Amino acid sequence: MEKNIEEEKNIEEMTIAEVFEEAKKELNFLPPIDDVRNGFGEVFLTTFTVF
Amino acid sequence: MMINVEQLAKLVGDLEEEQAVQMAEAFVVQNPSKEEVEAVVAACQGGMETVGVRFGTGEYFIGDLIYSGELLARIMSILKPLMVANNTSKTGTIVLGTVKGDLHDIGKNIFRGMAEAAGFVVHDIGFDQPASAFVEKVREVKPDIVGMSALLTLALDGVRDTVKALKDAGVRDSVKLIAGGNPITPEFCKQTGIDAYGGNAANGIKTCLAWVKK
Amino acid sequence: MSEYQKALYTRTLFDDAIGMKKEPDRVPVMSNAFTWPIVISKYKLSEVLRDYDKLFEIWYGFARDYYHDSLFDFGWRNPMRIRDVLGISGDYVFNDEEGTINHIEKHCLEVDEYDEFIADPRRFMMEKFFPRRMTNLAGSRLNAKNTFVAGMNEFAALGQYIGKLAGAVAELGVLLAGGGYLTYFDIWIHNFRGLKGTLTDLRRIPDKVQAAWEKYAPMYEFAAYDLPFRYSPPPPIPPSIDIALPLIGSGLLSRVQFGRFVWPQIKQVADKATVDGKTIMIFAEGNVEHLYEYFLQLPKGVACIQFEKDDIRKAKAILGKHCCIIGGISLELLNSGTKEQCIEETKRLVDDLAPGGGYIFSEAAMMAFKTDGRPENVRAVTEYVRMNGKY
Repeated sequence: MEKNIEEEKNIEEMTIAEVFEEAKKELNFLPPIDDVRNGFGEVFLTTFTVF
Repeated sequence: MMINVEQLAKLVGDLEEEQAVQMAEAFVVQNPSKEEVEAVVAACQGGMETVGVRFGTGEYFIGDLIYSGELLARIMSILKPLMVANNTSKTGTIVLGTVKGDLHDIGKNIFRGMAEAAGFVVHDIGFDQPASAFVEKVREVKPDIVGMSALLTLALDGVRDTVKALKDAGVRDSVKLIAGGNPITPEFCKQTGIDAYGGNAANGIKTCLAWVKK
Repeated sequence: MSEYQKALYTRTLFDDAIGMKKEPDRVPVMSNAFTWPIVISKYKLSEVLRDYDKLFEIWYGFARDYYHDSLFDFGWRNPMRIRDVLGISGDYVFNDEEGTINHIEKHCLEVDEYDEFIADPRRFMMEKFFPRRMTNLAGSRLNAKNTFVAGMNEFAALGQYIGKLAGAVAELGVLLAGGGYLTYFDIWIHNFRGLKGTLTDLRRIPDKVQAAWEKYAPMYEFAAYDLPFRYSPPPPIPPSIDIALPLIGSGLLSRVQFGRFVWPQIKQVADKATVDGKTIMIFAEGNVEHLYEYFLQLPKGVACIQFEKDDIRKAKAILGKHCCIIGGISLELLNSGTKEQCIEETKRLVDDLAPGGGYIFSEAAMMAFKTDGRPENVRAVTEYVRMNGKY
């Protein structure tokens, strides 16, 4: 419980870029491999740059 | 003349924005006469006619046409204080709008800019306008001309509806009708009872000027 | 034939048409339908675009009921669920009554922010562009994180829908078109600076625009080309064509401006695709006859070009020995003509354009509205090509 509050406090001090890194950690449909999650994240951002 | 109007017309036609703007800015600070202001506005129009011709021959493309609208708008905003101050007599009145079902307005805005440069008072009712909005404005301001813009093929129905509504309201014969935009053709205008096909903005303005001078 | 074998047969039709080395077994047919199958159905646009089950029903039905070999749009064009979650609003205005869609521009880069963008494009994208574009990133950072997570989950759901559809239509021998790749000009006009803004920037501050694109390129190339087309394993079912490259605003530019601001990127991606053995479909809106001199510089056998307002026979005459041509039947005819008239025109098109190969039949323009064609005509023309398009 305390740890969660601490995490939430930290998150409010983050940049959007850092927030995005946090978000990628929660993609449970992907294996916990950085390259895979980062790749997915990049494709997502690029796709929704235009669409 | 404290300005070379031929040079200005050429710069506008060549889409040389910075040089044209510099000329306009240098001109306004010299306290020109009403006649000189009118000559400068005519030069801008002449330049836009050149743009229209070059678009027709394929030298300029739609991107250039759109840019020319921005260039003209910038010069007109420099000249505007002079035009107000000199109370340049109005050429005529136009009610202008994009018909129902269509949100496109770039072409309409280019036409408006050029019409204002030519001395018209333009009542721009905006885009996606139902026929009733055209009728209402026509009743209110009693214009010389009604201009309808449409970019989507689907919006041709909106043009037909507007013409019919003006007829039903008994105001159709008190105005001249002109229409422009991608799907509009001379054949369509003939079939729909529109007085003139707008073509590109420069041609449309020419037609409008001919009407009000009669 | 297994579903994979059927898929491979269809892929070979497209590869042969695009490769320009031999005639394919028969003339392939690409669909140019976007929202048309939805607006002719019993459903409303806005209800289908948010429902993958309904989307699947519509697009599977479309593949089944007509004779296209490939679907170009199949729901990716309007990813409403993802947009809703991210708060991407106002891109399109749907009118269910009229069945119309209108596109609205947004500016997420102000003209006085070019220097900031050029100095650190990644930072600008993350800290300014995305919060402006994805309005649900506003509020607390926790909210922003949840928005990103929800958005990516929805993106994955879209991917699942596409995979499911690809497998299902493959059993019918139908393939989906591949991933999109845009020109920086088209990216810029859509959400960075708008059409007017971009056109004026290219005149007033062209060096800044080009510097911005140069700095943006590594990020874009990696996500839009390298990852999907170079580093990812090939999908279980192949697409009909690998890379869909739309020329939306680019066709509005004069040949000089196109040559300066757009062509270098297209040439580069065409060269990459040649190395990687991928095919490109250039989807040209409007009339692009003034750009043929550039298309003739494409590496041979890598691209097919879909023409909308061009005289397609002229395009074939000028480009036909160099690149594969896509197009054909006018929407006016599909909507107002009789079945016989449509078939007659289709016969003429196939007779004129197919000999020698390098031709893909398609509807001439994007089918979005009910008035873009009558179902019986679309069925008749695609069936004609399926039955009579054998070489």
